[in-house]
Amino acid sequence: MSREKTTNKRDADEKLIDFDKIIAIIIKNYMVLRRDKTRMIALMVFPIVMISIFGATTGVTPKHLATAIVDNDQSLASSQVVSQLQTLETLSIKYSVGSESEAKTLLDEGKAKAVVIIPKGFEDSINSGQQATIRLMVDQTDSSVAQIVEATIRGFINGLSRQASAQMIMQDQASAAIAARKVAALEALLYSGAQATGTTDAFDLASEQSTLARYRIMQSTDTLTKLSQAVAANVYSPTNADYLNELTFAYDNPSGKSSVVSAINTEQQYVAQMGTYNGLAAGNVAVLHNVISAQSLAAQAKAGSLALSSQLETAAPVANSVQVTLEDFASTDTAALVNPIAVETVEVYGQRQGIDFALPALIALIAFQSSLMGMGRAIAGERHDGSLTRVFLTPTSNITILLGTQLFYMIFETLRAVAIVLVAMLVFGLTITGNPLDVVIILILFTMGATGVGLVLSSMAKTEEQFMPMSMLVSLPSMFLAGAFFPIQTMPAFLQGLAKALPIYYAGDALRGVMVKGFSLMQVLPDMLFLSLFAIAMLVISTMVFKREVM
Amino acid sequence: MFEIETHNLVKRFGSFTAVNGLDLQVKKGEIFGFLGPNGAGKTTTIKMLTTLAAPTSGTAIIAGFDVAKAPAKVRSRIGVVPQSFSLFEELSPMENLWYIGKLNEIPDKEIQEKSIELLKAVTLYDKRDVPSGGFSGGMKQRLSLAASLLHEPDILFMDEPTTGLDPQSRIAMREITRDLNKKGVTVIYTTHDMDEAEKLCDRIAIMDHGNIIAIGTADELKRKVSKYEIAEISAPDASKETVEALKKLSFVHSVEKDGPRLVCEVSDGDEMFGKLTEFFKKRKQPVSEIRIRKLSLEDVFIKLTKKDLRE
Repeated sequence: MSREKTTNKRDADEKLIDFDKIIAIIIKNYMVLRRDKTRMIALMVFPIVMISIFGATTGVTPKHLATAIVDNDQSLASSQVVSQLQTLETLSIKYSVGSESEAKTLLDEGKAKAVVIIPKGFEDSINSGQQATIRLMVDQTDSSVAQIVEATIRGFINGLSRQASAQMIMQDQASAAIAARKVAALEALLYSGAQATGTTDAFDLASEQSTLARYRIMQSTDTLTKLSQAVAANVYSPTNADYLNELTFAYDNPSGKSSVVSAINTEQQYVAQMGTYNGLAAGNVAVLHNVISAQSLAAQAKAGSLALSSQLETAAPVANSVQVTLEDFASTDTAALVNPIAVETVEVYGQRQGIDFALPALIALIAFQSSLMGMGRAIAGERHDGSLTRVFLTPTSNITILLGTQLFYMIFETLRAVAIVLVAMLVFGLTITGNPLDVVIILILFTMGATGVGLVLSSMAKTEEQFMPMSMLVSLPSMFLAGAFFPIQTMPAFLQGLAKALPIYYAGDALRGVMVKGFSLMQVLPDMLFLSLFAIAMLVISTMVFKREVM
Repeated sequence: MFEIETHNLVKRFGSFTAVNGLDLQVKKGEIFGFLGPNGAGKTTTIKMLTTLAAPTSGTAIIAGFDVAKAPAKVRSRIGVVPQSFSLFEELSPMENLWYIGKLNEIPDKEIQEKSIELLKAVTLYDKRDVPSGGFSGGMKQRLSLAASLLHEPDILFMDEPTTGLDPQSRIAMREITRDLNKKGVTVIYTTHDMDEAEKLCDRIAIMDHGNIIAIGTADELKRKVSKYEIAEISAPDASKETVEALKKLSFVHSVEKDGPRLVCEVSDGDEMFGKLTEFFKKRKQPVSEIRIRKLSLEDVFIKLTKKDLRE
């Protein structure tokens, strides 16, 4: 036997980190696991079962909840409400009963989760502009369902009520528009009246009266323009009343009226003279016709102005009631009126389901628990079955033992975590917006910390049996603090602090960043830094608690 | 120069002292046996000598190196066959030896050669690629021994290597141990089997309450304890008075009750057989068997520890 050679070799100093041995430990663990088919299958199936169950129960809102209707109004409005309720996905109108007590029975028996009651006089209230009420009963014993049903119906009714008020405003707008159109027509009439008088100018027959009349008409036109602009701009103010007065003055004032009439008479005389002098009978007739029509137009204008004044009187209270929204009348489109405050969701991260946001935290949680559980066999199990004793008897440093063990489990756990992600993609349609390789890098860093926790506990435990309750102590609270089931933001401050001391929080955040938001690793650098520091801390602690002694 | 030398070695666990000031010297090439009841401190002593437990105080020098100061050097010179299997049941003998060889920094080629050589020696060569989980106790123990010898240790520690084995496996284990010893390996052997210790060990240390209470060859130990022979009398119904009367006989040195038997130290066995038969006949106490024999190591042990080791 070659004693010489080995004697020389065995006096070499023990290396702190021996890569050859680390690789040997990894290969050994792989061979052991490969042969232990039962454990291997259990380890692979566990996370897949977890993600399937958690995924299926998280972030899914209930649909088609049985609902009963009590329509005591039996009106057009109430039937519209019912037919619109039927379009809601959350509800399924299963029963239509005659009385509240019947509906209550359905609720008691659990056949219906909610009852919508439309009281008598519902339509009348809406038409008369009073507040109409719809009553709602929900099965409060089933709190989660009750909340959803109540929120859904409340939202629906709010929508209806908004629609109704929008319709009222639209009516107001329509009347104001009519008023504006009438003002415009009046204005046009007055213009043509003015133009008709203007033709006499061509025959140089202007007189003081006609000038005055024209001036007055011009003035009236100006007033009406202002008024129509005011109406068009929908700024109703006391000044409008003044315009109105002025307008009325222009036509009701006897002197104004007589000046118009006398102006027209004078023009007639001139026309007659012109016909006589120039024999331009045809033109004379035409002008005369124009003047006559101007006369009748003026009369119409007067009637119009009267009509306008009464229209404006009607429009005034209408304008008053919708004063707040009046400013936008002329320029806004009808969509704004139907839904004055619409919320448009900008899908910054593409078309996403709720579960896509829950999945990263879930994946982090399951990977953490898997990593933790798997470590029981690693140190505690080997210590108990004596195989670690054998390792202690070789010149292998503690750090080499721990590094080799952890590296193997890190590789294995990363593969398991990738399997979880793949299941999430296949079963729940999760898509990765960012780089899938970045997801793997995050998982490697994360499983390093997670197996590190297991390594610390496994180093402290004497047996695998002791390890189990110790790991439970860590894994159960982490389930609630992971943010997968309960939002961290609503937790008490100290729990928030605790949650933020766990690597799951940062892994979940980093995974969400890359998977959903399409971040690069640089954008999740703070998370990566925490995960690295945590992993190093765990390794340091495990070397401190690891005892190279046999019990 | 001793292969193993300890001075005032102490191990305490809290207030409990497991090993109490042990002084021991083992010469190179010896087969040295540790005997002692459970809890006597044997296993703790072995753990300290094999660097698996740190001494509370005192020193232990193994092959010239202090276990506390140069544990890695000690480890490279010793082989240990632990009480439990302590290898991987999922792995075959070749795979187990490969792993242990790697951790002992032996080159791959040498591991391969040595493994085949050792597995042939412990008659496991045919099973070299079979996962060892299904092995019998004897096969596991032989594989464990092979793993302990891979790095060619100078000293081999064997902690109850034959406990729980069938007689054939025990004999095989002893033969392999003797062969190793002939090749120059110093062997430290703990056992519950007195017979085995007597047959195998050059010297024996009897431990109790954390220290050695007697040390020497089997004959030395026997001489130290008693010059008498032993009469074993199977008398299940012997009354107290009978035992007292028996003690008063001139040739009877002592009487111990051991279950249905009375174990007596007697001065002259051959003549005493008739005298004892007559004694019981006279007292009308039925006796199924009287056997006169020489003092065994077990008698020595019981005398020294006042405890019955058989359990």
